[in-house]
Amino acid sequence: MPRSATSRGQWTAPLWSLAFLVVLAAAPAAPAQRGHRESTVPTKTSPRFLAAFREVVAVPSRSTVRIRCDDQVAAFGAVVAADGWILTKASELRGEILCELHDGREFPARIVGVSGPYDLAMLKIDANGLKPVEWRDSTTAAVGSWVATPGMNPEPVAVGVLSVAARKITGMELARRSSSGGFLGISISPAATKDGVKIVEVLPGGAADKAGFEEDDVIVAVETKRITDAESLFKALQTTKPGQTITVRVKRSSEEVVLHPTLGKRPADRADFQNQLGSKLSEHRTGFPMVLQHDTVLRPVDCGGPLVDLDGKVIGINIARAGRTETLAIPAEAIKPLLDDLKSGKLAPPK
Amino acid sequence: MRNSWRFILVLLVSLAVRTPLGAESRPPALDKLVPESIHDLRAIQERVKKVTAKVLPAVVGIRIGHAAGSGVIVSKDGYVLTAGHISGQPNRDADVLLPDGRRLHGVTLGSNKDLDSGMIRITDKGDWPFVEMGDAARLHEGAWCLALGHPEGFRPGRTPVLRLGRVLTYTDKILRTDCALVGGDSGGPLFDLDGKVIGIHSRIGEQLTVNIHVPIDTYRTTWERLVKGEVWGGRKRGPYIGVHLNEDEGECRIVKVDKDSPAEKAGLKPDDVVIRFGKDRVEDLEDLLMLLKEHKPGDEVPIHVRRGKKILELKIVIGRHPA
Repeated sequence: MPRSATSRGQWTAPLWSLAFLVVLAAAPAAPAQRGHRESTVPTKTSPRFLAAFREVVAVPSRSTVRIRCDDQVAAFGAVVAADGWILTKASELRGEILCELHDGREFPARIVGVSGPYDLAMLKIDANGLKPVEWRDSTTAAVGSWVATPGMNPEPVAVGVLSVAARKITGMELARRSSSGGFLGISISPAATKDGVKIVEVLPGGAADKAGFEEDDVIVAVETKRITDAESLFKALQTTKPGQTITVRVKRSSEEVVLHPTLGKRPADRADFQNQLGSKLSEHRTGFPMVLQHDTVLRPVDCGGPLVDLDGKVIGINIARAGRTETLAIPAEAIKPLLDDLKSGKLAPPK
Repeated sequence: MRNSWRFILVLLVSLAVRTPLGAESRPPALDKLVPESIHDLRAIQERVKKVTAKVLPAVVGIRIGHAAGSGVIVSKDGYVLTAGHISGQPNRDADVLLPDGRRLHGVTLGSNKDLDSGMIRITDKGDWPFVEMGDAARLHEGAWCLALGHPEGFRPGRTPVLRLGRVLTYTDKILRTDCALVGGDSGGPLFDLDGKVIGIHSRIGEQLTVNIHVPIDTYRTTWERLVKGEVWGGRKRGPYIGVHLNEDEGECRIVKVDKDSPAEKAGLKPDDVVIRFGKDRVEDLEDLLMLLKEHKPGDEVPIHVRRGKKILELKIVIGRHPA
């Protein structure tokens, strides 16, 4: 695959955004600007449309909890056990946490467990006799199945269809668009060499450029971690922060050079820009090891609660509004094995 | 804001369905303006699942140099419909990525820069999965449609991404839906509930209801030109007056006037309907575009507009489009 031998994953704009440039160049400066008239077609956000889903969410909305943090609406939650256990999106939690149940009662909550990778938190409230969600493996739902997000009303908050079935996210895709790690500013060849990972491009003015990295340098180690392939490099950099100075060993010709780049912040690119069009995105929206993807337009504060099929069964927990075309949920089959550890404190919240 | 959609992005081919999905009885739920019950929802869901499974193998990712987009195979021997801004210039190498991960060789063919239609041919030998092209005559506002493609480019392990929506408006030049698109989707297919391609993803506006697709008919009517590798259309930096119009509206009604533009200086206002430009009558946006192109920057042209019940004659000095 000679023509696409460059992986632009984490460090420079993803490949596709270049299509934008192509278009801008091709798109003519028309003598008149074109717009569109309004349509009278009821779309999936219209109340009439949502009303058709009342029966679908009647039962699961009783297992749905509204979570407020310091008096601000923060997320939804899902009741996972009758004696006051509630699952929600961890990164939306802060300060004093309050859970409002379907019947209007409110309870203060404490965080008992957190799964960092899945961004899930287990809350405990002092209540009994709650109605837990009814789980169903998401593998039972084919692409194209309706999905609804129950809220506190008779109608769902929003609806959509399953866009991509549950899948494991690989290291490369995990790293893509991940905005938290430090930014080195290089493009690499995805093919591993026997020594490490070869740099094919150094972004001018970036952290690597300033630290003296050169094209054709082969990265052998980051800090004390040996770099064997693209994935190990992504992983090593994911744990870093912008502003941090790291030690990188590279092989240049036959000698080894030690460099100390001060990492930058990944610049916003056209991908970010287009993805922000039309809806607000969740702050934490990447890095989940397993997700299912649907096309529901969900506000970030409406994540954290159940995602149900037409039978009202919970096939996942909404975890992020991740882009213009996508909302992500952690599939039920990935959550169930975590529940005990989240409750027991084995997966404890960070201090 | 109804008018000033800015086209920020430009985003974004046929399976022969031997037994058309619509051949059997068509559940009435598929044609209701709004589903009324869980029964209706189930009928729609069954159809959407069936169509998706059937068409998915023909939805491809495309890589040309460093640019990435989507496409759809519409013939057994590998003709791929895509967006003009993806295929670009003819005779370039293109990689065609099948959902199962196979990477095929292809070559770019022709494109129409005005409508953003484009074509690619798979040069590897084989019988490729393909879909059938639909018919605009059967389109109607409110019709269900399925968008498939590769948002942000082809990703191994991720099947083409489905979005379900409705046809909101359409003309012979554009089709607008609420199937949200993003970069990488460009060139991907929009299907009807019979599993036929009705549009190719082209560009988006800010709102989630502004997703623009190239209507399928143009591919059929210009098939030979595209196959031959002809590239046509596209406007140069030319005459400019500074008005915004709705491209899917019947008459030539101004929705916005650019600041400091020739139109503003001439006294044109939003809601004015242009009825005459120079000596010629104007009925729609295309008329006005054509007449404008006949003039040079600096020309002074009389323009007649209808404002409320009054007809006004104004004079406009044609400007040059800002770069």
